[in-house]
Amino acid sequence: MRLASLLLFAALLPALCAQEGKRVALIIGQNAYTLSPLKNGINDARAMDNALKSAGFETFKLENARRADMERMLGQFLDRIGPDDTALFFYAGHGVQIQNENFLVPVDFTPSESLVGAKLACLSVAQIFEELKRKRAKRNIVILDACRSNPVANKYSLEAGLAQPQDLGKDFFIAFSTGAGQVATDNQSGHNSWFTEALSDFISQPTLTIELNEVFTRVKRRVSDATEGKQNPATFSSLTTDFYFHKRSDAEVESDPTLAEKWLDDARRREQRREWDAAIDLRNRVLGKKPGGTLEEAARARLDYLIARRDAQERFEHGDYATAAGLFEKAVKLDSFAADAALQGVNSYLLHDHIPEAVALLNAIRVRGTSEAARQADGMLKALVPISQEAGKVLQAGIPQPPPIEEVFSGSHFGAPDVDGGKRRLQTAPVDISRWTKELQMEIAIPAPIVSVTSTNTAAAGSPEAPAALGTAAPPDRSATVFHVEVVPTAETRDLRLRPGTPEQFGYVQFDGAEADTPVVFEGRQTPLSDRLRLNAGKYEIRTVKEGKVLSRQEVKVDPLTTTAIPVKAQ
Amino acid sequence: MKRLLLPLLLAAGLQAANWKDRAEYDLVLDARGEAAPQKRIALLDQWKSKYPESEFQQPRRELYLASYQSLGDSAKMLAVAREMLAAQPDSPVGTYWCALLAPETREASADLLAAAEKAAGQLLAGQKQPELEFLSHRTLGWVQWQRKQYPAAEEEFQKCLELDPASAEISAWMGTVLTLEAKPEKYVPALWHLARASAFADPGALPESQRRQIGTVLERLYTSYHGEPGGLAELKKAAVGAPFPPAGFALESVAVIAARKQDEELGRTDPQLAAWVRMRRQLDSAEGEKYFAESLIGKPLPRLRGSLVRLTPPEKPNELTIAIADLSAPEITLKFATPFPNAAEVGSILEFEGTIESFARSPFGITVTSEAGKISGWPEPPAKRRR
Repeated sequence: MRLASLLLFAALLPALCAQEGKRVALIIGQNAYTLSPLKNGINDARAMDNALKSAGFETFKLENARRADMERMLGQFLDRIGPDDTALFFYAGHGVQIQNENFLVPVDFTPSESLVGAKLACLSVAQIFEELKRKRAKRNIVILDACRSNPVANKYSLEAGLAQPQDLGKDFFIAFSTGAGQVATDNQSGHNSWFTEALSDFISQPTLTIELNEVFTRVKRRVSDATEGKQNPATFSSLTTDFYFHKRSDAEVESDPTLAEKWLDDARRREQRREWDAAIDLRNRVLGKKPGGTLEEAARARLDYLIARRDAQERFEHGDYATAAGLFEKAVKLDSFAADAALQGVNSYLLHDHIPEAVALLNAIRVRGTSEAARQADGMLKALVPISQEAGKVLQAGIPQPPPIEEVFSGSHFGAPDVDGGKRRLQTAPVDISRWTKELQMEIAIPAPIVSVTSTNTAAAGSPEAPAALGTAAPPDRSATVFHVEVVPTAETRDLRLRPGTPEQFGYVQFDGAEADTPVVFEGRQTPLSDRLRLNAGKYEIRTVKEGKVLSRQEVKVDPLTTTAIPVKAQ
Repeated sequence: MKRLLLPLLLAAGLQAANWKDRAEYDLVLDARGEAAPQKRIALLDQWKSKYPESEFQQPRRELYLASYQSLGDSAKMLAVAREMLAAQPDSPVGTYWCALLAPETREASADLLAAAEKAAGQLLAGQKQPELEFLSHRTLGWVQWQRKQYPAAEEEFQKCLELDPASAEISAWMGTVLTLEAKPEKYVPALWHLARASAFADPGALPESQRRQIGTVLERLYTSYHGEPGGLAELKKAAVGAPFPPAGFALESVAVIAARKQDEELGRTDPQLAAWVRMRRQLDSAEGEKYFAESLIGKPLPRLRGSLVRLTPPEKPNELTIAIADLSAPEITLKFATPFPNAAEVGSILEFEGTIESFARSPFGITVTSEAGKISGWPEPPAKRRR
């Protein structure tokens, strides 16, 4: 039983080892340099922090780091890294190459007299590499957006930009925001550097399930386009495994309609390398998926050719030239542009003493092969002239015009769109609309409370009392204790009230800027601040009051049938 | 499709084209034999650079297109498609790929929108095939969306979903443009479409990651619309079953919920006002006139309380304008056969009743005939001085 468990564990071990570990990132963004401050370093660090978190990274972030901070945080970061993990180091700030070695500049950098002093004041990228190597993470990704014109380079008349890494080590990927020795801009008009803006954007898209190298290919393209080719990010990789910021689920991979297309592409590469079995196997897998349409047609079209090539080669290697010659001939019939198959066929026929068949194949090479292949065929024909009259005739006839392009690409259907390919694209690459959806809002207007125009004070109908305030739901009297606004009629207004009002002799006061429930007190009654207060036209004093103390006074004139806005700041 | 388009190929005269020389043919054979798309593109670049005036420029562009297709580089594919259209405005390949790929562009210029619109129009005008029609409407809708013509986009996406109800991508787009229209009446269908995009898992579904992303957006929007996430699971379940919300489908908005609660509260605290609010809503509805004619005209107005806004004439008035809940919008005009002997102060609170006479929708108002005895809150006339 125990043995069985051990065996089971042993069987599981490779699978366990292949597991993905943690994703840990150290992110540093620098702005506050004394000599040459930057605008976007911290923004870049924050953008990357958000992006990497969305991709499942545990992040350590440092802003405006001094040398000591950088070392301390680097230690914490390294402590978190284990053998199955992915370690990512991102730096946005000043960097410099000193004697072909890259250094990151802390914000507390002060120029010293010597280069040695400068080196000691900065953080060595090589040191970071060494530390990472020691941790033996599954993969290490180092991203330096540090190739900006900077004070250290200026001080010591050094070359601006960073140096190409010399010894990358195994399982490292390094990206520079621009090419070695070039200087990148900080993108003064933007919020982020061009490089980080593109990179963080791509990493933030959960639908972008592409491999790391492809992510950076897109970053390079976008940065180059944005800077009109002035800035060209560079990457160097010794990674032995693929890495995806966002990976597709197994189910998605299995149901991927482009899977068959990828197999077919792979089959073509195998064929080019003359790996006939692999190429046949991949095409059979395509057919097994039954993709239909042009894809199935393409997979099937070349299968017989590949089988003939494989078998011919096998027979040839076994010295069975007769069979090999027939199979090569068959392959050439299936693909009349396969000059190498034709040449192999010629060899097989010659070894089998079938000269006329060899001459015919040589002629086919002259007609359809490249100029080089035709010259080679001519040479062979000339050599055969003494023993073959047919060879002489072929040579005398000259080389005809090469066949038209439609024959060269016989399966390509020029002029007709690849609708099947389009359908696959629609199915597998739906447009990412997150940049629209993340801003979507549904504004719903909540209806204002409907309350009677009457209030406790006006309940005594028939009395020409003070004007009613809308929304007077008569909250409890808190005015004695809490912050509130008082509206006090001036003598002029009080006089007005002695005369009967006419329809146009009232206006409104609307209080803005404080919390909605700040009470407004008028004539001893309260109303929420959000409501308009209806007042007889005239002058009033607006007082802000807290715990019985008047904090401020403001005189306001209420004109008939108008609304006067009064800003109120809560205390 | 390919077979149907082959006559176009012949019409384009490709058969008549010739190689400039054998070296051009050699370059093409090299490209043919290269399986790696990047290397094939490099070979095509050589061909293009050495033979810019080749008679095979359109096939060469198609070979570029196929290579970029293998690389999944839609931006380059679109650029090639547009090049094809520039060289041959009715190029079926250029038209197809321009229409299909334009929506993948991140920042669409006016020029691209026009090109995509033209391509989609050409596809639509061509052979009637559901797949191509779908593609055309998809592109046309996207173009209108980018131009912020949301109702036009909605129309196109409606057609798309009629042609392919399983397209969760279009459901997501539809939900997005309906929300962008910023009209509250579009919010429920918008939520339906987003719910479908996030929950639909059959063929035509969005990739899992994108479904999750839409699901997060949906939850946020649903909560802001409905006030809380309760009922969202039911919405998703229903939306999976149909591409459009059924007729009469409704979700209560926070506004409706608040109004309902207000009504309940008002019914308890001020039944008179509650009755008026109900009446007012009916009158404001599309069926307002019908409701008035069938249920109100000539009927007694329940006793209401309101604020006096205007007296006509100001002295000894026989017409009073009353506001019930909003002083800035008087709603009721009371008419009296006999004028009052005195005036009341504007802002006086009156209780009144009478017989409903007429209704105007805009500006809103109902006219009620009444008599002094049915009004309370009117001031007593000043006592006459005795001599």
